[in-house]
Amino acid sequence: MAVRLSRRKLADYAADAIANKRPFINQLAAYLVTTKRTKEASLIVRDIELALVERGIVIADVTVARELSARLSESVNRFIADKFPKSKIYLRTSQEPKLISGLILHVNGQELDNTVRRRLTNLKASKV
Amino acid sequence: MSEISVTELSKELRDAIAGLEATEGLGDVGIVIRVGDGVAWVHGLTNAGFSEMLVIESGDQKIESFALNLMEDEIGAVILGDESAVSAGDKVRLKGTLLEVPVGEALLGRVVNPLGEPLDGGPAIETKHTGLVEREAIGVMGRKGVSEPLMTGIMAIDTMIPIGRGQRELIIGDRQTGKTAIAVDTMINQAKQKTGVVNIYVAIGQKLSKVARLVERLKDEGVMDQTIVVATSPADPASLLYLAPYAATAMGEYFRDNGGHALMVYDDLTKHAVAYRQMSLLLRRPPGREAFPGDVFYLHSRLLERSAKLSDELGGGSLTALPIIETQAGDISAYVPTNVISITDGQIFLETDLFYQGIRPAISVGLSVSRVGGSAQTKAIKSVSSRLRLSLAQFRELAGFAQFGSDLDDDTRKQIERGQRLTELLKQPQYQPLSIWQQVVSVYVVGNGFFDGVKVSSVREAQEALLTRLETDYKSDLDQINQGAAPTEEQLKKIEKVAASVAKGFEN
Repeated sequence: MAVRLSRRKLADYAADAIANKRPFINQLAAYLVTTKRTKEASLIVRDIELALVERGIVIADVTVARELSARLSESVNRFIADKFPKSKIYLRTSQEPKLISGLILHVNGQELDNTVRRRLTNLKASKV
Repeated sequence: MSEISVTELSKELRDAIAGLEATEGLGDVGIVIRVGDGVAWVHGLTNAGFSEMLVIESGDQKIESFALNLMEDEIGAVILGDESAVSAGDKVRLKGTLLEVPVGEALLGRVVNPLGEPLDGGPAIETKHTGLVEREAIGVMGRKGVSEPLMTGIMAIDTMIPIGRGQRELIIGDRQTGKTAIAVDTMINQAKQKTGVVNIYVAIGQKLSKVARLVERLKDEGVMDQTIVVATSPADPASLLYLAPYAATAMGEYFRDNGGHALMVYDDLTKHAVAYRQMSLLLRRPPGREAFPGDVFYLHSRLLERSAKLSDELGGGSLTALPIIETQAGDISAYVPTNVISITDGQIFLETDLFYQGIRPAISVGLSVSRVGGSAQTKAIKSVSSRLRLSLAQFRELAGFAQFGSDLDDDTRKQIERGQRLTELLKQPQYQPLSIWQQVVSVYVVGNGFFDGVKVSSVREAQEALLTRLETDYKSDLDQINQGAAPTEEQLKKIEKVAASVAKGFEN
């Protein structure tokens, strides 16, 4: 029986391929289908993003209540550049009106949540 | 560094605080990928440590859990709250702490769950102190040999299987053999003899009706004021059952570390091992013997190793443990019993046969042992008990032979008759622990043949009469013995005189 490869190992392989500009998508898809692990695809993508940080490629998710302004985008880029110097930064933005105001930044398995929604939830939890 | 305006100090400080609050940093976050059977599997949180608290954010609710399985791809976290509120996709954050429970005097007289939340309908526990649920046991240099006795008030134990403060003495036996009764009597004795020892009773998966009865009894006996009851029922999740003894030990350690003395009763560790087995199987850990995980020995050794007698430099406090193990059909060679026997400093083995013969507590003298308690025995008890175990063993051997023949020489017959009286003496009703002097006098009188003429069925009556007479006539002498001093020749003469006179009233 073939040894079950961990998601982390698969992610490392894919991240190396991306960093060295080698094709890997078809190979990875075939592996997941053969091993009946297609349900893990989204988790593997997350792991690949984490592995890419070690290789100087940072993919950050920014969720805002309204459209991300150029000024805010620049300041987010600066913030990430401070945390991950000498890295190539890619921003992935999305809108979520329920946040009311502020933003959620998700990068390298860490999160910065400066939204009004979170503050309200915290207030509710602390029963103030 | 920019100069601070002294006149605007207040404003500067307020601005600085506001600035800190606004710049909340990046925090580790993971997501729940699946949940079930009290376990949440979390993706991410690569910085999580073993036993670290995690907070699962599910809508407006925050549910606590602790990381127990740290694997390459995911974390297995045991949920401490409402499992049904957790769903896949929920965010999980590190709380930044290990699991802690409230500790301190505020818990005395209370019934709480393993998280320190009250179960007795009383107010919330108000204490400034907290203790780590998982904590490393004290090292070699911080310890001292067991040197002070922990009197149980049960004559058979205090004389033949003595327990010292800081000792771990296992109570083992089948169901319905009086295991809990021994532990409860020991707790009652601490209050009756005013030893100052705090009792902590841990009910692991016990029926709540049983716990309620126990609490009522402790209240009736006036023991509850110096007792903490940590209760879990069979309806609680396995995670709470698993945590119960560790949380209770943290509560006991508070007293130990502050120079006090505490007694832990773990009722029982068999159910604890079963709860841990359930958790381990759900966490997909490989099962071993009897489907227990490989670290079931460590589960109990790290718990019981926290019971110790501290060195004088650390205050000389102690934590004594009375773990209870339930056996099946007297089989002490099963996995968990052998583990705990090897961890503890001795065991009190209870036998079903003895129990139904009316010998209660049903202690098997042959199989019970105390490895360190002898050095903690008071001189008073030691002076009368040294030959007791041997006499009883000889009596059993002779009684076995005597079954096959009717002609016995005088010496053998006498030895058998005295053995019968000693056995009768060691029968002791529940909730009636005896003080040191009561034990010393009783064993001395019967062991030295002063009651040889008393009918076997009247031994207990004669004992009561003797104790009442002595208490009325020689209180100051008895107080001295009660302090632990060996009885003097003169005191023994007084006892002998009263014993001889009492025995006359109960002769055959």
